[in-house]
Amino acid sequence: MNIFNLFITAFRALLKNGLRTLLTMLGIIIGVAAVIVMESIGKGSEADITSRINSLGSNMIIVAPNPKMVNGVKMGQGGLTLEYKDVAMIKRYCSAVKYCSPLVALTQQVKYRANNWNTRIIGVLPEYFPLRGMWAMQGTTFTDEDLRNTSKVCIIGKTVRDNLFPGGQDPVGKTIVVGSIPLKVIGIQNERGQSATGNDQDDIIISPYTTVQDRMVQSLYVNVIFVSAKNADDIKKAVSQITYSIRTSHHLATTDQDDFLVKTLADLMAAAEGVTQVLTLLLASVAAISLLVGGIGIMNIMFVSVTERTREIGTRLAIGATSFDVMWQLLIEALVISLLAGILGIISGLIITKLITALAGWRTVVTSSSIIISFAVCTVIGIFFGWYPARKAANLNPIDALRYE
Amino acid sequence: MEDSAKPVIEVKDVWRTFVTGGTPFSALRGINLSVMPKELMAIMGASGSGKSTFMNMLGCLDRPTKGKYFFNGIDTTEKSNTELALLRRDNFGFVFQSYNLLPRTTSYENVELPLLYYGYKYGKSQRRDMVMAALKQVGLEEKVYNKTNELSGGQQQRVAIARAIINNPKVIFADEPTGNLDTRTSFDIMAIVQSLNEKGTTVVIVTHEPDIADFAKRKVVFKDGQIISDEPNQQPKNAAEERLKLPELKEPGVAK
Repeated sequence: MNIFNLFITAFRALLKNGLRTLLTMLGIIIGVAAVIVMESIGKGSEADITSRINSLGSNMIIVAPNPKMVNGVKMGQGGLTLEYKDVAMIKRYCSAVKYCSPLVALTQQVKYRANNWNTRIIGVLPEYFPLRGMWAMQGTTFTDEDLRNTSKVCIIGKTVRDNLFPGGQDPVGKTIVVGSIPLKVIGIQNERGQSATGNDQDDIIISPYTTVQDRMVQSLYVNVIFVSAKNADDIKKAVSQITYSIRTSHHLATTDQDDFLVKTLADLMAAAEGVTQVLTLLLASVAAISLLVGGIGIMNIMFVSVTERTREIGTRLAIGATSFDVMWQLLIEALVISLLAGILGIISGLIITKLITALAGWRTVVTSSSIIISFAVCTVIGIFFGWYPARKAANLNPIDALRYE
Repeated sequence: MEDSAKPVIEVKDVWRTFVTGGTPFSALRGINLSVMPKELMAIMGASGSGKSTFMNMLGCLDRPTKGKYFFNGIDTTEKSNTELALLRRDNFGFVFQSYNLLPRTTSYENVELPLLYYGYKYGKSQRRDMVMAALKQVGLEEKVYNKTNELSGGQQQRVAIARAIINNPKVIFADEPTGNLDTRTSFDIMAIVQSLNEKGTTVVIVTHEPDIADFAKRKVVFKDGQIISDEPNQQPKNAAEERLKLPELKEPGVAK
């Protein structure tokens, strides 16, 4: 039989037992749909996390303090080892660095007339804004002059604005009181939403580094240093330059350990992706089991089909079908079942994915690779589980098959 | 006419032994037989005489345990299963007692089936012409697209005959072709068989009905796995004429 007729014959045979065929396909349909849905949710959350991390700023490097070991006892994070001179050192000697800004922070009660709010105040350099991909969506950001003058100015986030200036008042030009320091609002930060770790990035007040350093925290140390490399290829180079600069600035001997940490976004992303990958893997194994069970279902129904049609197979053998013809007929039948089921599974997977996005609001990404893999898996299942029943049919003795009741 | 001088079927000392439950039983015991082209041979015998086993052997559906079977001078005992399948496809037509049509398919599809096993040899329109011609030959051109379950027994057997002749076979093997049919329909079927034989097809027919065997040109009788008589039928009856001689059946309710 030529391949076209084999497929026609297979389709006819399956249509004759429409309901049975559909039920047989169900296992594969569910398995494939599960693969598509899991994959799209996994990829969606991965993309979500990636975009959130990227929202921290492009090519960003974070330098955090990592206190020295004291008599073999590590002092834990939050210790202060970084100073402004490290920033100056980075700016001076690191050719791969584009922007560099220290960050000092404290939490304070802020007031405007009758309203007050507890929020985080950070002190940074003006270049912190381009470094983090931030701008003033209203008013302006501060300048180097404000920095030199330790000007009492600030940029506020949307959450702060909503709490201090309810009812749509324009905060620009108004003076708020942070702790005991009056700061003039000169701009409103663009909306940034949640961070990768779930913090509200709009619940913030940003002032010149010098203002916060001198007037509020009154300490030499900085909490963290934000750096951005000139471009993505320079990140590695920048990290080694920064490490060298700070080690020099801290007068560390070659045998001393770093008293700071240099983290890139790649590190953060790897950690986040690790979590989603474990999740995806778990769900994929559930889908794999479902596909296996579906495949066994196909094998089972193919055996029933061979038994049922023993006489038909005998007749076909008598009128000149070779055992290859018979084997191909049943193999293609199994293949058609599993591929049809695959197509239905892909369609229902896509529908479920759309529903999840529409109803639960989860971000989902359907990759063509998951569709191709589902299809390939279905083909393999069809051939693998169709093979044995097809062999059994092909090896039937024509006489026994003809006499079979 | 050189071809007709050589036997189309030649069986030499054929044995067929089955082993059931450890005890061997020989259904065929040293059969020797030749069939010339254009013969219409009836194989007769009681059940268990080995006649069906013998026909299955002739149809290459089974192999002898011992002995040789030459078809058209070819030693079939040397052939592989696939070669035998192709031999059946190209040379044989089979008609079974219970028709063995594919369930829930049309006459057309059943008759077309053997042609599909030729791969790409016959195109769709060519197949169509051949199927129509075969169905016309058995007088079923009216029932081309009827499903087999919509046909009477006689009509189903005619579809089976059309399927058997679609590949223009050298030999038609019919195993009790009239076993499930009433006398009138049996005679109709035999008339078709006789007309095929007249057109040059060799026919081997297994039957236990003497009436049916009377239509053959040669009668071979089996008993206990051996041939006990092999005689030409000097005056084979004509099935079409015999059919006309049968009295019309009157249904009690219809009689006036």
